[in-house]
Amino acid sequence: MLFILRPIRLTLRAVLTEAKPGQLALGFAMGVLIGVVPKSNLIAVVLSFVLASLRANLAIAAATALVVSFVAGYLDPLSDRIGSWLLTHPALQETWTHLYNQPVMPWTDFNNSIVLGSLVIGLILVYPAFRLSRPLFAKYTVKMTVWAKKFWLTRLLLGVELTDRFAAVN
Amino acid sequence: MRWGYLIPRFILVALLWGFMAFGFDPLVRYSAIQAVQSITGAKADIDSLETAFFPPTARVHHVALASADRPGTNLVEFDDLTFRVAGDALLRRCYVVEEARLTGVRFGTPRSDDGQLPWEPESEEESGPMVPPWLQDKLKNIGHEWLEEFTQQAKAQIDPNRLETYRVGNEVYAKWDGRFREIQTTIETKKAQLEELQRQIRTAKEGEPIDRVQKYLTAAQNADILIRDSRTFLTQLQASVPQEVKQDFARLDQAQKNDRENIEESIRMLKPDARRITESLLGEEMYLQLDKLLSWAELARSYVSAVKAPPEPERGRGTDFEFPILNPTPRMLFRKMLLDGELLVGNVPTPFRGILTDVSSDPKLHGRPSLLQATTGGQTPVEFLMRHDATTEVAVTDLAARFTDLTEHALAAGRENGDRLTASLQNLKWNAEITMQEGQVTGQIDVSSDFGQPVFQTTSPYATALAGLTQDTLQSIKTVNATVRINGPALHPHVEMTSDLGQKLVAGFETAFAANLPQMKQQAIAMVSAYANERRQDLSAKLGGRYGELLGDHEKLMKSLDDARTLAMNLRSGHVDPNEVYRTVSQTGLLSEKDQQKADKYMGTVNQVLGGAKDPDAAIQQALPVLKKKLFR
Repeated sequence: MLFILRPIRLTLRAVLTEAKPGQLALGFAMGVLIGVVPKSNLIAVVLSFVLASLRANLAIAAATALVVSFVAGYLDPLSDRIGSWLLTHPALQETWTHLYNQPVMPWTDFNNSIVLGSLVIGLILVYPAFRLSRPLFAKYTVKMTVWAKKFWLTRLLLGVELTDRFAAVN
Repeated sequence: MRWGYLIPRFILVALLWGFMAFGFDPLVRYSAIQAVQSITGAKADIDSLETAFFPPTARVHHVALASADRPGTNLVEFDDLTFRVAGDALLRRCYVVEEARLTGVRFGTPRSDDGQLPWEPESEEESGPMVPPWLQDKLKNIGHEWLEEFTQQAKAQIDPNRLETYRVGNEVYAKWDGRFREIQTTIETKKAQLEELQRQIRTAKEGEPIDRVQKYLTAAQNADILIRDSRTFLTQLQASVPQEVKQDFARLDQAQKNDRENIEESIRMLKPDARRITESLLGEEMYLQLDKLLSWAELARSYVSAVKAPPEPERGRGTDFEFPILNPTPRMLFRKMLLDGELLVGNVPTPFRGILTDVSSDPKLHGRPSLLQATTGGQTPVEFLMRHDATTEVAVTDLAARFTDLTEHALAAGRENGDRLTASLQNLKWNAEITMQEGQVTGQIDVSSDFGQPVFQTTSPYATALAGLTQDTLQSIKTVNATVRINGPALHPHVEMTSDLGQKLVAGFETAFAANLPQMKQQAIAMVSAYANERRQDLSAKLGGRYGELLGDHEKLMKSLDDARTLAMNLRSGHVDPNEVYRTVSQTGLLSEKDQQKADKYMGTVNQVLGGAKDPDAAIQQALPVLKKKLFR
């Protein structure tokens, strides 16, 4: 049994290891950005790679992206208007044309009004999300750790030392 | 660098690699199956699909697309499809296939299952009928009864019912029948009036002498009127009937003359319809070939259109803005695809090879029309060329096909047990050119063939000699050429077929007629003459017999009337000689049998009395025994 659980424990530890409030907030902010942007294009893939390259909490990022993806559809009208405005702005035509003629760029779907608009919205939301979520993570991480320790499954999977790590953060 | 940072990244990379190594191809395969199934409406089987990124290539093994219309049968099946996508174009999101190879293509192969989907795929357009309306109309109108109609027509040309002689003869016969009935009715009326006169004379014997005289006077007046009417009637009858009969006989003679003239013309004009013959013998085969070509053209157009307008992604949100491209390339372009496989030509699997070039999602941008060239091997080689030019505003599809069919095709017109013409075509050379443009279709199919083994059998005795002669002349036909021309809307085009076969057959019939004409003419004229004579005899007999009878009746009636009038006149003038009265009355037949007996007895008595007056002694001697008996009883 321990032989089976150990790799899972190690994996989960690794995923949740970046558990400082800043890393959690960064994961949250990136999750918002990735969640807002439509997924069927290269921008979403690139953002995912960026997230993976950052020292952010991937679990929080994944969970946030998942939740935001569900509500992102409601932002489509706004994204469409922003994207259309940008893509039709005369001053930017040369830039878009240049980008459009570059290899790989067509895969990003940046010429789609919603893709570009949602990217802009996501980028705008990154910093506020980071700034607003960081104190919240700092405040509630300890409480969450204490709460999580109560569950035998948490202890079993993550190990007591991990929950102690959460507690030691503050 | 801490392991805590690296391990998750390694895990992500591993997951990504795992997906690309093991999940990408199955995902593409699944997507391809779903896309194809949504198009065909039946199961699509793809055994495996392999992709590679450096260089970007794909290989698809054994694909079988089931037919939605024919359960258990594949629409198309192929062994392998390999293609290489141009890398630089792919970086710009353009799928340019430099060269593809499709091998082992087979059509209509059997499946182990029925190939039907458990659900009905959503279809935007209702599937059209299997047989297009124009073809249905054409096949429905192809009639093999022309031959039977023709032999019937030959028979009808010499049918007595169609002859003027027959019509006039019947008309005259019916007319005189009516006239005789009218005369008979008139005579019957006069007889009734005579009977009334007799009744008046009988009643005149009763009552006072003065009354009797008055009644006899009235009867005499009535008798005068009746005699006058009857004489007028008789005069008219004797004056008009012979003249009218003469005219009717003249009409009958003229009709007979007209018939003789017309029969020759009718027989000369008698020939079958070349167009109907052509349609009957070649129509079905040629129309089906035309439909097949149109289906191919439509299929090819629809495939090209499918490439031109790939299905929209499920989440097609927002607006895509297009920007000028320095080196524009169509989103999808098949520069060259090599094909090989097997086609069913006349139900014989026949190998074929083909090249498909320049199939593009944006033909205007690409600037070159799509071309499909294919050739088959085997005994009946087919050369097929299709050119779809969508580089202009209006797409034009040209299709040309040429093949030689060495198998023998049996031709037949007519019923098995009726009039029937059979022959065979060998070595058929088909040549078709069709152009489709904006729902309009124009083109033609030409076929030339060797013609042989004509056999014409008939059950009609009128056409037996004709059939033999026709068959002899048809033996001289060696080749047949036919053309089907089509133009107009693709769904309801005007299709017209011409062939020298029809003309040649008509010429054969005409030759046979020319040879058979004197015999037919003689037969027909003999029939007309016989019929006319028969009518004339009938009429003569009828006129001679009944007219004589009617005149006899009338004469008798007149005699009776004359007697009655004499009697009445004598009574009126006062010169009444009882002997004469009784004699006249007795001889006229005006009296009934009983009255006649009484009259005879009375006349006997009177004669006795008058005789006695001339010799009183003899009378007394003769009367004495009676007087003694009465006095001394």
